[in-house]
Order: sequence, then C-alpha cells, then structure tokens
Amino acid sequence: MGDSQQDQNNQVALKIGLIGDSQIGKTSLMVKYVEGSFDEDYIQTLGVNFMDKKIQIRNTTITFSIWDLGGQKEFINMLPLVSNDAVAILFMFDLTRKSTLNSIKEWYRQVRGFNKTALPFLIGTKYDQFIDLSYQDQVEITQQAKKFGHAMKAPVIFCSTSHSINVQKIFKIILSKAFDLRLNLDEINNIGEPILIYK
Amino acid sequence: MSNPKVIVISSDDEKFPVDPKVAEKSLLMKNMINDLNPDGLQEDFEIPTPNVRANVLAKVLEWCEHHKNTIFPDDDDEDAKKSAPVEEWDKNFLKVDQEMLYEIMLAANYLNIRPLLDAGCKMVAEMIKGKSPEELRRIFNIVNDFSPEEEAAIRRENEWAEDR
Amino acid sequence: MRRSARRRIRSLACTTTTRTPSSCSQQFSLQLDDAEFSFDSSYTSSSPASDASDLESLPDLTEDDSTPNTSPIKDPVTRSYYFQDLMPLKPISFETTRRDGPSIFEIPEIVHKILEFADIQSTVIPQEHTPIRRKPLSFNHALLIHGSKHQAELALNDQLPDTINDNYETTGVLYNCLQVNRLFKQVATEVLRKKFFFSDEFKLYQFLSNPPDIKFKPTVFVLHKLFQVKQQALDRISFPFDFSDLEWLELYMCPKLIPGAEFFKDGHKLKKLIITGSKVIDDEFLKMVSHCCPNLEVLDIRACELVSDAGVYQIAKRCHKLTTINLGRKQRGYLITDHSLTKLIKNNSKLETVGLAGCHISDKFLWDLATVRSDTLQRLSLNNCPLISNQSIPLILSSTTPYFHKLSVLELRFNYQITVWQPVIEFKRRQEFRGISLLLEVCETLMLRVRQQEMDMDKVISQRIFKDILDWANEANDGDSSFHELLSSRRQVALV
Repeated sequence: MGDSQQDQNNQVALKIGLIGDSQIGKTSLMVKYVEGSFDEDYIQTLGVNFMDKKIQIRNTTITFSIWDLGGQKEFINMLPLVSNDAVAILFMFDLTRKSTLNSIKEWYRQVRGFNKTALPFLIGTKYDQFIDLSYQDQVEITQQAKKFGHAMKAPVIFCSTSHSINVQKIFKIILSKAFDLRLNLDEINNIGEPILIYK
Repeated sequence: MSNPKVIVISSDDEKFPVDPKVAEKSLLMKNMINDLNPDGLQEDFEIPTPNVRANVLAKVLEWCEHHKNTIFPDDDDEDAKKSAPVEEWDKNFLKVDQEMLYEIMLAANYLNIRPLLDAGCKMVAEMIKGKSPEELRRIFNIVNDFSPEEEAAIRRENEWAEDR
Repeated sequence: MRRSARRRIRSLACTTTTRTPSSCSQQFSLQLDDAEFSFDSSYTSSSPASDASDLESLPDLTEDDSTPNTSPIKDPVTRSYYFQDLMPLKPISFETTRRDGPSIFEIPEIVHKILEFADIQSTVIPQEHTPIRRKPLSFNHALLIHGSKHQAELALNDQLPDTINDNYETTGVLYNCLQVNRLFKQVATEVLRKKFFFSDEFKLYQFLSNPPDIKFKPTVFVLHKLFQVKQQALDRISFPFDFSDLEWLELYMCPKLIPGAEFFKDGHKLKKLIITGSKVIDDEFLKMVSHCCPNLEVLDIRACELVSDAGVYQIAKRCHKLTTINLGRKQRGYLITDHSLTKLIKNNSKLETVGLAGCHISDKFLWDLATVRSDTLQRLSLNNCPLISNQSIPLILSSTTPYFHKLSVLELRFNYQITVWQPVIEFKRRQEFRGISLLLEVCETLMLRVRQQEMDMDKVISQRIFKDILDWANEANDGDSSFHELLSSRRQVALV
C-alpha cells in the first residue's frame, strides 16, 4: 500500500504562556525566538502579546502559539487568556533582581488556579548581566531558583536573549516534556554557568 | 440629444422620464419602443399607460429601476424556478397595503413584466394558506357566486382532496 | 322592501352596460354582504346611507316586477347573483377606492399563477423521508460512531418520521380555493388535476366511490404505502386519466400494484420511476419500461424481488440517461449480478447514485464501476453484498489510484468479509482534504474494526511525528550561542 503519509502534513499546535513581573524580558524572549531579533529598548507590553512560530520538520509542522502577558498589575485579569489551554507556562524572573524571583510564588499560585495541567518551566533571564554579579549573589540566586524549580517540579533554565544563550533549548525542552521524549541534551549545573536542569 | 429617455405617462397624465433600459423591463413597452423606433431611440419617446395611475406607476418604475440590470431566467415551466422564494428586496418592496399590491400586479400584467407579477402572485399565494373559503372571500373581496347547495355539493364531491 | 332592493340593483346593472369601465366614475360603496343580498333578510335603505344617494340618482326602471326579455338579467330568484351573466370577467367591485376595472382575482391567468404558486408552496407529496444518516443499530454502535455517550444517546433517540407529511397549516389550500367562487374552482381544478397522490387507503376508497368530475392529467402520480390496495382499484382509478404529461410515477410500498400500459402512453416524458416493495413487478414490466421510457433518469425498484438480470439488462440496453439506480433487496439477491449491471453502468454516463444492497455483484464489477464511472459517482451502497471482498474496495480506494474522487456516501454494512479498512480510512481523510465529507456507513461489528484500525494508524502517525521531533530536538546546531565564549570574553575583559 502506498505511503499516504507523504501527501499529508501532520499539524502539531502548542500554546505557551509567558508569565512574570514587568521588565523581565518576556516579550524580548518571544521576539527573539520567533523573529531572531533583539531590541535594547524597553517597550511596555500593554495587555497581551501574541506570536506564532512555525517549525517544519519533515512531514510535521509544529506551531508554537506564544502568549506574553504584560507584567504590570493592571493586566492581571488577562491572565486566564494566556494560561487557559496552554501546554506549557514559562514562569520568568530577572536573574539580576531577586524580587522578581520571589514573585514567582504568587504567579505560580494564580496560574495554577486557571490551568492545573500545563507544564511549568522556571526561566531566569539576562544571564549576560547575571555573570557580572558577585559570586555570593550568583550562588544565592542559583540555589533559590533550584529550590523553586524543585517545588514546582519544573525545569530550571537560565537564558540570555541578547546573547542567544539557551533560547532555542527552552523550546526543545518544552517539546520533549510535552511528548515525553528523551532528549540527548546535557544538563548544566555549575554556579556561574547558565543553569539547564530538566531531567 | 445625448441620452434619449422614455417618458411613461400615467392615466392621470403624470410624466415619468426613465432610462430606456428601465422601461424595457416591460415587454409591452419594449416592443413599442423597438417597433416605433427601428433605428434606435433618437429622441425622448412618450408611452401613455392609460390603465395605470401615477402612484402605482411610480412603484412599478421603481421596481424596474432596481432591477434594470437583473437578468431573469427565461420563461421555462420549471417547477424549481417557480418554487424559489421571493427575493428579499422584492419582498420588502411589496410590503404595501393589499390594494396597492393588487394594483401593482394588474399593472405588471398589463405592462407584461413577468418577474414582478410572479413576485406578487407568490406573496398572495402565501396569504391563502390556512384560510377557509369564507375568509378568502373576505380578505380578497371576492364575490361568492355559488348557492349554498352548490357549495355543499363541491365540499362533498371533493372530500378526497381535503388535504390538497 | 325586497322589491325595491331588486329594482335598485337592476338599475345599477343596466347603467353599467352602457358605460365602458374606464369612463365609469360611479362610486359604489354598498357593502357587499351575503346577509344583505340573501333573499331571506330584509334590505334596509339606511345601510351605507351616504352612498345610497348615488344609487338613488340612477334612473329607475318601470315599477313592475317582470323582467323584460331584452334585459340581460335573467330571473333573479333562481340565480344567487346577477352579475355573473353580465360580465363574467369584470364584475363591479363594491369598494371604497376609486379603482375601476377588474380585480386581480377576476383575471384567470393571474388566479392561475397564484394558485400554482400556492400549490407549490404547500403541497407535500408523500415521500420516503431520507435521513442524513442511518439510525445506529444499538447503543454501542452509536457510541462507536459518535464517540461520546451524550451524542450516542441523541442519535439513538432521534425520532424522525418515516414519511414526510404535510403540516396541517398548509393542508387544504386548493380544497378551500375550490369553494371560493366559480373562477377559483375552475383554476383550482386545473391545478389539482396535475398531481395525483394518496397515502391513505381510506381516502383512496373515498375517491373511488365518489369520483370527482375532474379529468386528471397528472405530471406526478404517487401512491405511498397502500399495502392492501388491489390491482383493480388502480385500474379503475387510472382508466379515465390522461397520462400524456406524466414525469414522475411512484408506487412506494404498494405490494399488489403494477401500473398498466396506459401509464406509459407518452413514456418518453417519464423521468422518475419508483416502485418499491412490489410483489408483482417483474422482468416483463421492466422490458416494457425500457421500450417506452428511454429518457428515464431515476429508477428505484428496491425490494422488487421478481426482477432479475433479464429485466435490468433490458433497461441497460435502452436507457442511457440514468442518474440514479437502486436495485437493493433483502432476498433473492442472486438474481442481480454483473451480467446486467456491468452493461448498465457502461451505458449510463451520468450515474451519480448506485444502490445495490444485497445484490450478488463481484469484485470485478466494482473495478469496472471505478474505471468507467469515477467521474460522476457520488453515492454507492453495497450493504450486504456477499461476493465482494478485500480485493475490490480496499484496493480501489488506496492512495495510488484516482478512483471515486467524487464519492460522498459509501455504505458497506454487514460485509464482514472485508477485513482491511486502512485504505478506506485513508480515503475518507483524503476526501476531507478535497472538501468532501465522506459518509461511511457500516454496522456495529465493522465499526469496531474500523475504529481499531483507525487507532493503529494514528499510533503510527504519532510515532512518526515523535521521531521527527526528537531528531530535530537532538540536533546540536540550533542557533544558540555557547556560553563558554561569553564567559571567556568576560574574563578577558576583567583581566584587562
């Protein structure tokens, strides 16, 4: 019998939500991943931003629908829009501002109220500035992040949008977790290096 | 004269200048125009319509104007075409009081504008549903020319057709 | 009182004969009411008082009662209304408007149009109700088809009537029109005679025992579910009919009836012939039909178990305009085989619907059908065809072949011998791609098979997808930069 699969393209669609305080780099991450560009200037996200990224792998098209929620308090009522039906939620914090990591607790609680089945991910941004902090600070933040990740049962990834560190890897890990596939990627677990824990 | 018009004159002497294309929706007028102007219209051409009053003529010409570019399917005796419902615009156009509706239909009949007459007939046909003979006579102002005995005989003889 | 009323009306009548309608400017505002003009009630001059003056002004005739012979009015006592003889087409209308001339309800052509439209709008010819899909055979079957318990229950309980029947609001339209007045009766009769249909035995006998004075000239002749009616009844009914316009002849589930030769007098006009569940229709009948009705488009002879290849062959020889053919049956399927059907499908290039439930057609026939009729075939029923196997449908529908690309309905119930369903599932999915929603009707057992094979196929597809993703994800070269470079460049800066 002929291979009819050749004629047909398989479609896989995943909705991903980006959650976290303002000025963390959520929008930048989305734009970097989808368009490959990075803009130094900060433009506040008013409400919700939305972008699609399509990846063609042989006969399969993967579409990531990325929803980015503005971090200001006034956009909190749009949270359901971003979290409902999402396959993965990226809880994001700024590696150079400890307060943003503390906010994760509250964000996590809120999102869980709307979506109990989404896969959580803990993403620390601005790694390129993180490495300029003191060793002490780096230790503290890394250990705190790992604790949170452990409690949330979420992979922990440090990334830098401006320097293209771990950006693609985030989405690879999302796919592998969503479909329970075994990734060959090595973990990174040393202080000072961009943490990559997911197994 | 750049654009000669057809001037339709109502029974009460009101004049309605229209585009020849509009007037030609009436086969009667179309034939008159062509027969009396074999080389095409050179100047304004008057057509009197002694059977149609001004207010009715105005409505009829309004219909013709709206449909001046509509192509109506040919005179086929196709059941499918007959059962097509009245077009929305026509339906609204014909939402007038009964008298005017009948006048329009008479005018359409006289002027030979088949699609307009058909639309009117379909609307009247709708009114027939669910009405007893007496009600029909009343709303259509029809005179009963049967004797009560004749009526009863008709009812009896056609009992088989009670649900037709 | 009465006398003066008569005189007034007489005078009214006389004046109108001398004037032409267009110049007649009288305003007649007498309210026409049966009560007033019946000779039992007394007429008072005080009614429509102001307008009575118009009548008064008309010249009065002689005082005596006898009607002169020259008057067009005959003896008023025997007539219920005068004006009938005066101007059959243009009676005066007594209304408050200034309209002069006839009302639309006096112009026969217009009344005819109106009643024809009314007939089309309201007349429902009794017909088999064809549901969008067949009812599930059991709850499990429904569950397999629809997927959810809720939907399954809905589908099972969906009570649709077997027969499309008329809505009470639209019944009796023509019947009522018959009684309105003479013109309406004349026109209504004209419209009535063009269709003849019955679905109620009692009403049919009523018709037979008191036949109306109508010369039927039907384009449509339909008898629906008249199980007990005998042939003599049909003969008696049809004897006086004029069948020269007949286009649609249907005897649906009337087992004892067979139409005689008179029905096919102008058989070249017949387009639709439906006779189902007949115990008398046979090959001889079909042979006659084939000779008389070369323009037949629809032939439905389901459950006519006397019909065999011989009859169908005759149809195949002479009828080339068929769009629908249905020969389905429960018993004696061995009588219909490739021998007649192959010729039939080859000779009819516009075939859209083919129903062969229970027939003994072979795999070869299906291949022939695919090769010659794929360009037109839309609906195919092969329920209970014992001779077909995995060598026909599954192979015909495989992706490497272009067959049946217009198919939107495929019935394969009770063909347990078919075990290979992937090609059918894939065909269904390809049709979706083409914008055609293929209805695949199978029974419970087969539905189970279909679902299982569907799941297996989906698993294969999923695994393929996962492999693709994994290969992509494990690709080292993904666009990210190495952090080592960043760290070393910072250290260099620090050192400086």
